[in-house]
Formats: sequence, structure tokens, C-alpha cells
Amino acid sequence: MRLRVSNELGSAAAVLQGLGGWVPPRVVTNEELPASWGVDDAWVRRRTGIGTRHWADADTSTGDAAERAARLALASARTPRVDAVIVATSTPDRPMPATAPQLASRLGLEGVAAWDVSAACSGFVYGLAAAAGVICAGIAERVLLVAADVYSTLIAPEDRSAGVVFADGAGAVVLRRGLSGEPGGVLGFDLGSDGTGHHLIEVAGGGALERARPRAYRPADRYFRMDGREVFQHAVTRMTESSRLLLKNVGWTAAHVDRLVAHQANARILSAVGERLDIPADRCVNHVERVGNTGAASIPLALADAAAREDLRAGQRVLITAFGAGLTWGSAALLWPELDRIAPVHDTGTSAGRSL
Amino acid sequence: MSPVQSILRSALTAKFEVPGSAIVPEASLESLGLDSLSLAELALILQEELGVKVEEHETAGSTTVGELSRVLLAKCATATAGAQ
Repeated sequence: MRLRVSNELGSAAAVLQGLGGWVPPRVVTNEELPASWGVDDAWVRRRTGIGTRHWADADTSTGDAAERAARLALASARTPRVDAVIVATSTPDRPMPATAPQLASRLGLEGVAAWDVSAACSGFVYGLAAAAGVICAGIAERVLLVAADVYSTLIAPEDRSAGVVFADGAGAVVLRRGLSGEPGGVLGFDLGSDGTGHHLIEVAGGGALERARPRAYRPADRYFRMDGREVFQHAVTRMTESSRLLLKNVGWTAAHVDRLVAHQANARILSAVGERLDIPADRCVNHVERVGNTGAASIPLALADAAAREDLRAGQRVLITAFGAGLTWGSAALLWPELDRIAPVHDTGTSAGRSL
Repeated sequence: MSPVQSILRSALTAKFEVPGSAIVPEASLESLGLDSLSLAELALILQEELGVKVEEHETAGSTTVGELSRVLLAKCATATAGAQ
């Protein structure tokens, strides 16, 4: 059963109050990719649309990246206080405990509710739904949602196909309780999953199944693997269908969408989704060219980058849509609010990026 | 040219910028410049346009235009017969 929610105007809603994005300082160009992969700039660009990505060093954990983005989002929201912290990630620092409680403590948010969301590259949209849920239920007035992934730790050293695409980063939003229809209010969601496709994108080992039957697994099973062809088709189909359902539910057409912010998986998936939704390329946000696929972080990073460049402006109708392992997918719609100036995502050498 | 062949030709020329003169029965999809993601997208377009499931091995790099046309014609004929 799919979950579709569309808020009545004037009812309680999660409202976007702050936004921040952070990528590790190390930029890796296509020319700097491992020589053993045998790729060049033209090959990577043609195949993926990616020109550069950022890889974390060994001293930067998912929690570290999450903290950077979280501080930027809290500063943007002009509030140091939230009632809950949610972290969406596929690369938690450890299997247990979740990353969110420690992040909350590092931010000085002692005692707040804190938990992780595991929905892979759909994690930000699922996390947004979780945040909206606790806000609309009256459980929290304000939620910090951070999507962070250090995918460079999850890719096998010899995996060229995934290695050229996946990268590291974190994006965060602060959501407050407000009214549906006001600028920044999330107008509705469409969420779905198909567990029969669990094997199409997976890290097969490292969990309870491997611990129960260790001899059934190989060291390579600790790394990410993906059936690129099947995933391409599912990603395009699911994001397109989910977007259409949500548009109908919130009373928009494709012509109403000022900015489509899809999961930044690959430029060719972005263009295939935009074409099917009939949303012109100049209204489709492309951040993958600069950062690659940063997993759950890709959408808030793309939002932060677009907002910092003033490509996202108050009053614009924004459609976000994501697809990831699970299989999972989800979409959300909101009117872009007036926000304080958002720190540039790619200005990592400034005080904003080094404020810890 | 059948509607199925016309849809295949149109997808190859419009979406993948293959010159019409290169689309001959013996040409493999790989030789027309389609990489693995293009093959995936071609299969998706054909599924959307024709309403039939196109399997991975049916749009492999080594598949020729003639082979793919025959497979699609057979699938569409079966789908039409099944619908009657």
C-alpha cells in the first residue's frame, strides 16, 4: 500500500526554516580517479554527467559530515534549539547505535528525541515525512533532519562503475510547525517501496545474516553493488510515477513546477525523469555534475547549492523526488520560503565550512 | 515499415542521435554508439511506447537492429492476440 498524504490548506504542516549543505574539502576530478579504472574525463562525463566529486579523508566520518551540515542549517534557521534530530544515512558510523543521538549531543541538544532513517537514496524524503509526522502529531515543534553519506567508504576499490559516481556529503534542514499553504510548508508526500527488488542495490554482508552464516559471505559482500541497468529503469519509472501522483494530489501540473529537484543519481536519469514529466531542463536542478551521487544527501545538497546561487527563490513551487535501494522512492512538494542567505556549498575553505 | 520498426527507428534517431542511414538490420546496437545506460533507456522507451516487457538480453550491445525488430514484432503480435 502506498502512502499518500496531502495536507488541507490551513492544517498543521512542517515548514522549512533552515538549510545547509557541506561537502568534504577534497575535490576529485575525473582525471584524478584511480588509474586502474582506466577512465578519462570524456568517458565519465558522457556516461554520468559528473565532472567532479568530493571524497572525505579517513578522519571524516558520516557523523562529522552530518555535524557540519547541521550547524549550517541551524544557523540558517536562526535557532539553536530543536525537539528532535533525524539522520538519514546508508553509511552510519557503526551498526549500533544510530548516528542521530551522538549528533544531537555534539550539537548540544541533550535530551532531544534522535533516531536514524534507513531508506538509502530516498532517505531525505522519508526523513522529511518522519519529521512532518512528528510535527503534525504535536510531538515536536521543530525538527533537525540531516542526510549524510560517506559513500567512498562503501565502494569496493576495484568497482569502477560505482566509484566514478558515488561520493560524500551532507545536507540538513530545520523544519518548524506551521500551516499548510504558508511559504515553506510541505504540501504533500508520495512514498512507496518494492522489496522484491532488494537485490538490485545492496550491501549483502555485514549484517545479522552474515553473522549467522559467515561462510556464506565473501569479503566483497561488505561493499556496495548495483545492477545498473535494472536500477536505471526502476529509478526513472518510479520517480516519474511518484511525481505524477503527488502533482495530482496537490493540484499542480508539470507546468506549475518551478524547480524539480530529483535525487542526483546520474545526469542521464535526471534528464530521463525531466523529459517524462515534461519539465524543461532549465527547471531541473542539476548538482550531480559537481558532486556526483551523494546518496541521501543529494537532495538537500542540491537544494542548498541552488538556494545559495539564488536559483531557488521565495515563492517558487518545488517538487522533490527520490529513488533508492529497498527499493524505495518518494516525492514531496513545497512552496519555497524566504530564507536567510544560504552558505555556498562549495565554499568549504570559508569560516562557514570550518565552524566546528 | 511497420509501426514497431518506426518506433524503434524514431527512438534511435531522436533520443540517441543515431543517423538514420546507419540503422540497418545487421547493425548491432553497440555499433550504433549505445552504451549500457543507453541500452537500458532504449528498453524503457520501447516498453513505454509498445506496452510490452523488453528483457535485458533482448537489448544487449551485440543485438542487431534486425533481431530486435523481430523480437518486438513477435511480442506485440502476442500481446495483441492475448488482448483479443
